Amino acid sequence: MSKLQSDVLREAISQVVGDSREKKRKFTETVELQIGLKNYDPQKDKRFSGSVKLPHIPRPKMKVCMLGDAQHVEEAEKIGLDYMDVEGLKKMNKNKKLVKKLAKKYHAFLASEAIIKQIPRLLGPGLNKAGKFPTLVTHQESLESKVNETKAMVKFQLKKVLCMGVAVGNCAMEEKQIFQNVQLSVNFLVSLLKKNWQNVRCLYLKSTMGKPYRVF
Amino acid sequence: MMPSPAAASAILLSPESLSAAGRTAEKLSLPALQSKMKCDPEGYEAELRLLYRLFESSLHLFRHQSALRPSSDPSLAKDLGDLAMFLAHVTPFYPDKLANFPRQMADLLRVDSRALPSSLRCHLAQALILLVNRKIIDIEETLELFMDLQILGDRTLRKLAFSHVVHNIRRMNQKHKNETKNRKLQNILFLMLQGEEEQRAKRSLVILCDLHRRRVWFDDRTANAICTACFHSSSRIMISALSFLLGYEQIKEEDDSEASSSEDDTTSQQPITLSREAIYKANHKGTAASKKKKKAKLQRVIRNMKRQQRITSQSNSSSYYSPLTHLKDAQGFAEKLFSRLQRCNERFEDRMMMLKVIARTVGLHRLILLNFYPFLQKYVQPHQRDVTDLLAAAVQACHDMVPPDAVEPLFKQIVNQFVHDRSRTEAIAVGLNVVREICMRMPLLMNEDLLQDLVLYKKSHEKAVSSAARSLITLFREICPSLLVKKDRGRPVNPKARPKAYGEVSIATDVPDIELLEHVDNSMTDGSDAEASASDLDDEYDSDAGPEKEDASLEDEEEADEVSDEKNEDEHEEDLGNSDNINGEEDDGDDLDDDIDENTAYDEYDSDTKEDVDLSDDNMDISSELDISGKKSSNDICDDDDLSNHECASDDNDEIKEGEKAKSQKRKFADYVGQLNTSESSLRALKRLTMAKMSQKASDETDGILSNEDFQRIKELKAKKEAKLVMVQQGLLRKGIDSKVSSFKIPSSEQLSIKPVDPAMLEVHIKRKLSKDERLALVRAGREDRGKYQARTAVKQKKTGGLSNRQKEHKKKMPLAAKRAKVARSRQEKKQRQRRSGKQFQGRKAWKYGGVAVIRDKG
Repeated sequence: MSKLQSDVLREAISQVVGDSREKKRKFTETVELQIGLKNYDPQKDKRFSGSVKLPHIPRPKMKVCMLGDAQHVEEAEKIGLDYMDVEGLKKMNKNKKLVKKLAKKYHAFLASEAIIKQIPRLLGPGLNKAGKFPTLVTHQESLESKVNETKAMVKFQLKKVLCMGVAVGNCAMEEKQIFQNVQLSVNFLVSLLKKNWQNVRCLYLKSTMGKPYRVF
Repeated sequence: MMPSPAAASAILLSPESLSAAGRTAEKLSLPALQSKMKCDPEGYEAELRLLYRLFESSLHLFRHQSALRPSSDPSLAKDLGDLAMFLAHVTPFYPDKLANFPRQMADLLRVDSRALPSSLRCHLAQALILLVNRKIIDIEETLELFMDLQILGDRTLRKLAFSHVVHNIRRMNQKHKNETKNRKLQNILFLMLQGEEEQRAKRSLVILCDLHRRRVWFDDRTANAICTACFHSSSRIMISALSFLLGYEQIKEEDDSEASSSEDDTTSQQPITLSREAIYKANHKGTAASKKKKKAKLQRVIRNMKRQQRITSQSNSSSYYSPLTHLKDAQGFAEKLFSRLQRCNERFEDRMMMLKVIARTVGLHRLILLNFYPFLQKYVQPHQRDVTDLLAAAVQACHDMVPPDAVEPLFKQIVNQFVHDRSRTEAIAVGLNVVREICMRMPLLMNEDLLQDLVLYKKSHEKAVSSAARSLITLFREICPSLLVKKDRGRPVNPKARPKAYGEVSIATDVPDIELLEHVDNSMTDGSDAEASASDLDDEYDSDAGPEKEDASLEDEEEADEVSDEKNEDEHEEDLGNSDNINGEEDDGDDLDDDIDENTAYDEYDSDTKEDVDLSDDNMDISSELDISGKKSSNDICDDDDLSNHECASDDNDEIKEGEKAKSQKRKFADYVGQLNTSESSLRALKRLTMAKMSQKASDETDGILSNEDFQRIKELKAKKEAKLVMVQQGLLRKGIDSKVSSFKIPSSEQLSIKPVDPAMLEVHIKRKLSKDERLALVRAGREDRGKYQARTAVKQKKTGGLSNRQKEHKKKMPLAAKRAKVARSRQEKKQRQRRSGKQFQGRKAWKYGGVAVIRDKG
């Protein structure tokens, strides 16, 4: 078996979705892809990282905050996005605890051109440490699409251990959509690996509260 | 065998005999007794007890003596040492009798190691090492003791204890690593390292560094401990920790070369090869002894081969390891070290080291340490000591997460101080190189005016300067050609390239370069299309009937019939004037040309549409109009009505991707047949299909999951594409300039951050002015193979290799007649010469005076 078989994957998806239907939880469960690697020495080999935009948003409830100038703040207000302006940032006053709190509160940040340059000065290294340095939004592109793009993005990053997990969908999605998401994320991950499929030990698919299903 | 020696030694070693016979007899017997005890432990228990008591009493005695007189009797100390050594040797054989002995030894060393004379101390330590090596006492208990022994100021003892600790821990981790045990030992050492006592901290740091370098304790705990040693209150500890961190790469390389030079001396010259014959001989030929020897040799060779493999793989993987990568709180580390740097008043070299470590940390972890850049700024001056190192650190500290306006003052300062017309050429070259390196990391710093100014230095006569300026041009040709003047832009790969704005991220939406794979699927079939279209050229839109004909070729048996059938149906179709419900929207006559154009564009897709598609669209025509072909009824089952059906049909098609080549051949044949008939409606249907297919394709390609082969192909295609790009850049595949093809590739920011910046890189091509010694050395180097100066004759006289011809002639005994003849001949020659010499006037205006002389003679 040199690669993930699509029928196995389809079956696993339907099982995951079926399980979550059977036992309803009080929230929409996220479908998660768990990856085990092999023949990889994280101390010696290069640790890879890469992010990819999935075709469908896996976690629609992801919280994004706009650190914007006046115009962007207005736009954000319109689409009901959380926002913060320069004054708000200045109030943090490089206070580490406050910055950390802010970083914890949101999953991702966006910032407009004028603000983003000042962020290291205003907030210090807190956002960097959390790995949530904001993404640039210009006035040319629409804020909403950018937000969706951010939400649809997943990041693969190998740290010290040989396993990773990434959210690829939720149980409210159609099975086909989940399939597409899984397919793209698996393809992307495998393309990052040095020996492609030979580096993959196992792939599991599971929902937040459900059983894991091995697909590879 | 037993009783007699036992009795003898018992006599020898009885207390009376000790005092009477003196120590010499005992000394001689100790090693002998030891070997005998090893052979037969039970037989000598009595002696052991005796000796142990002796040891205790002499220890007691020694303590008393040393309490009374500090300079005690050396012989007593020696005896004690010997006894301890002896007991240590035999302890494994009497584990219960001598259970207390190890503890006793350790206590002795621990309590009054300072008071003991150094030779005794060494002996005792050796005995204890023996016990530890035999695993009678654990290293955990003695580690602290051995660390203490290292700081006594006794050189030999320090070396002994140090090498013991290192070896022991290495051996412990050789087979497998016992994490809990390692952790305990590490904790002991870490505690010492953090302690106030400088000596002790220093020794534990040395041990930790050594073990880390040998990859025994290669974990992040050790790395972190070493890194935190940079904050030790004693500056000596800090300095050695810093130099370890900095020197890691260099030291590693040296180690490698050392190992190879010392061990691979014999093997590295010639490539090691293992012949099959040698293996056979080692296993099958000769006596057992010689086979053993040969096998051992084989093993050696195999080990060498493995080592070489490892070395090459290491050098290939270019691992720029630094313990700093393991830092848990990199930001905190950098900030703390920076604040220490700002406060401290160490020597310049030490501060420089701190600075380098900070810069490396900032670069490696992409930290934001905004105060660091203004701090560097005050050192940026051409006459500053070690300025290239400093600039290398500055370069290292730049990465794309730093806001450009934070670095800008520093950048400006570098440009202003180094690169101006009055500064020395070395400074200009270094400045330009630094600018290039910084811009590679932070392209946003550069603006158009500055770049164009800097680039003007390419005309400089100094090689270092001009090449630095040129390298700047090459860089900007890649990252932002628009900043360069038109002349300098060359033939950029992407003329619109622009550096990413600060904080801008590009997110992949798919596997990188997957479009190549899709493209190649098409282009592969394109090849067959090309052939087809070649035949199509004469009548253009006939080609579009080609696909339709494919199914004709499928059913080759009845081809002839079918062709005629289809001809009929098509004619019918034309006659009927497109009244069919499927294609009703457009008017055929108008759209004909368009269709042709588009169809050529869709050609690639044509090839993808498979048998079923063709069948189905054929069927569509048929069903819409005539319904004549009875044989196709089998296909009609599902496909006749609408586009949605076709879509699923095309889905199926995707899965059948094999057999394309076979088909393309068939297809060629079919094309000729296809020329016979024209069909616009099928063309139209085809177009519709391809549209539908395109939308399908995006969402659902094959089964979507790429296999290893696909990735391999992507890799190949990418390489091919890059090669092509380079060729195009170099003037479209001109031949003979291959050697010049060297495209500049910008390393990614990750690659840049991993690699340490080498200060030597900033001063490439700079010719240093040599000092007098160096110049003299150069001069002398040329003279080495020349001998001492001598007169030419002296050289000749000394010549070796026999006599010259002339000398031989002189020496040879000739008959008398021959001698006389020779004398006569030589006399004659002489005369002639004399005569000639008188006539031939040599000198100024010989022709004039000569003439006059002749006239005078006549007169």
